Amino acid sequence: MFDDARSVPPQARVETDICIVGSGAAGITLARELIGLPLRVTVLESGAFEYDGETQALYDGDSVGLPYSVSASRLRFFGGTTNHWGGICRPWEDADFEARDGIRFSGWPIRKADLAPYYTPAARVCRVPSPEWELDEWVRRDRAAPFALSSDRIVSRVTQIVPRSMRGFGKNYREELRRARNVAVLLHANVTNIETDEAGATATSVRVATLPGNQFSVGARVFVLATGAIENARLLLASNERRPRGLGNQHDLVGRFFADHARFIGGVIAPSNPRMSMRFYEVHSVGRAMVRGYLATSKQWQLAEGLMDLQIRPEPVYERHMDRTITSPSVSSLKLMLRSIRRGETVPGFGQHVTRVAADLGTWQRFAIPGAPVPVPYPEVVREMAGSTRREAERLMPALAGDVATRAYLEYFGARIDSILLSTRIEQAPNPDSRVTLTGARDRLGMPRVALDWRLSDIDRRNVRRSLELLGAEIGHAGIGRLKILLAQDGPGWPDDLDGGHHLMGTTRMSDDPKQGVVDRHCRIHGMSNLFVAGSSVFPTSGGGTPTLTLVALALRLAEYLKRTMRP
Amino acid sequence: MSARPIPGRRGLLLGAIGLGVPLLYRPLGPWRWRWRPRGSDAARLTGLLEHQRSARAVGREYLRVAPAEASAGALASLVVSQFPAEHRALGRVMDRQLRELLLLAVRQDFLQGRTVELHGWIVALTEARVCAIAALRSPPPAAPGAYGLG
Repeated sequence: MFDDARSVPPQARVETDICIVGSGAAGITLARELIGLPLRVTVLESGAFEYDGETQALYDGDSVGLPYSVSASRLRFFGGTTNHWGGICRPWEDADFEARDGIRFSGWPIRKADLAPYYTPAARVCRVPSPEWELDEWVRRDRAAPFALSSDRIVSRVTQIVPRSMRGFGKNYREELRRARNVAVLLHANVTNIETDEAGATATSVRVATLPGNQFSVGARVFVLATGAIENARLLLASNERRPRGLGNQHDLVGRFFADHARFIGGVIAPSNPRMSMRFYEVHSVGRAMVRGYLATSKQWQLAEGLMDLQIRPEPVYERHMDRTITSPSVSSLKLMLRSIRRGETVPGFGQHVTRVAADLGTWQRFAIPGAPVPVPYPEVVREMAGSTRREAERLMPALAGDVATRAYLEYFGARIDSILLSTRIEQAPNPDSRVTLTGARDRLGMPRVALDWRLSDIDRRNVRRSLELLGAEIGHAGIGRLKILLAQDGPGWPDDLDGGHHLMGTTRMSDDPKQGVVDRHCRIHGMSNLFVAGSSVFPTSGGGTPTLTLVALALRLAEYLKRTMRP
Repeated sequence: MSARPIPGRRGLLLGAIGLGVPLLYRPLGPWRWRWRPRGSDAARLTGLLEHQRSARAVGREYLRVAPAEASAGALASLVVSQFPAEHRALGRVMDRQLRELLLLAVRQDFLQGRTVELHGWIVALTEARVCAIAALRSPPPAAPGAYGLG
């Protein structure tokens, strides 16, 4: 059922068994799993069913590190940030949970196997069209093909994209939650503080405030924070009546290790064949599923070289149709890059020399004399043909005529791929200096506002450059073209088009060691008996894949833990 | 095995375009017609590159990052050392075969990580070295930066 917090009498105390703070992907998933149990569940949601500027403004904060939109990266109403979710899904790989050599703080206390049973149900919750993730199976079904790369350094992977109409958890599950007898969703309910016993070891209630002004409290046996990586940290840090540094923050970890999938154009490929098909790497449908391929370093190489994961999305720039095809503001960075290309900063200039040299060795001139005014076959080719059997001649002739005709066709007909931009999205290395802190400013409800200091490190730079270097070698070997790395080797800056993926992670990281993490493997805050965290703020590392499917799988796992351990 | 289909009118048209258009538009270049391989290894290697100006630009950049290799003869030896032993005497290797050997060496470079980064571009060591030979065999450009450094 739904209720309105604005109608709760001031200073009232609402009692429940499980109090879930936040109704985004994690909160709704958890609440749904508890439907029908002999437990009272209360979900506290700050907003209502639609976007509201005044409520959203409660998210306002400062960005003091790399550019980041603290408010616009998330949404504060029923359904949470799924209301503007891109719908891209893929389960993480085994290696995403493992520690990497040379990467401090990497590694999860749980393995992929611990989460694997929850991925298929999570895919159903997220409404992913197909349970299939194996590349071979998608290649078999798909008319488009990935790059034919021959070594194990770079792999192609497939993501599925949930149709836009099915992405919002609020819309998808509103009716189900309305009918649930043991679940109450309280709208317009802003949690401003978590109250504990004297020792600060057990949460006893949360204080709730509404914008019109009434305040009350909700008592529960178990509390679950599911408000996203910035807000979970904010709430824990602000709840400092018994613990001056905030709840769960005895080792100064709450708010640290903030991570996002930083994205920017990391490189560009000058293709050998301007007519090559890029369909596999563009959004396209296979059966009833929308899919998109991407490139990444293989897990084997990541572990061998201590690399973090990343997604490299090839974005073809079509020579004549670029301005028509790219109109979305979200890809304005591509336009910026196109202008750079036209100014001679990438493929033209030195790149043109590189690609000409590559073509000299690798294309049609394999059969003809360089520099001739007309394609003149090498004498030995002519001799071979003259003295060859008919079968051999048939083998040679199409190669010569085919290449010549193809070259002419490419030069004088049709749209060509001018270049392929490499939209690069990285798994950020765990960085304690990348963090959320409280400022002296307060919002309308008296909550301290946040400052987000998003930072990347030299490890991230090395990871991008090494991964692109490996990709450059792969595409050179496969004859696809030549690659330029756009990210400078040294220097303090990051590209102008750097942006976050709005995947907020890491501020209440999971570890079995309280000195390394805020929550334990069951997502319970270290040192507290009944306060849990759901969502991607518990991710100790952020994987290369998008977080939603994994955070939903974790929420399902947490729900099972609560069902197992809580008595009615 | 099925017979190769006879080209239709479309195929003939494309073939004619393929042969005719380059005749009209391709610039006259320093092309050679020869039956027997001649010249030094360095000359043989760089002679395979049609775009000499581009090769020199790439080669100069390679020499900037690897100045110790600034000898055409030594570079040619390094390139040829990547070929199979039976093909290292270039006097017995025809141009077409030499091109195949170079192409193979370039592919092997990429496979085995023997690459060099030139202005951000990932280039095979062999192709960079052949370009460096081209740069060493010609005078430097008239003005600095004449080739643009994209």
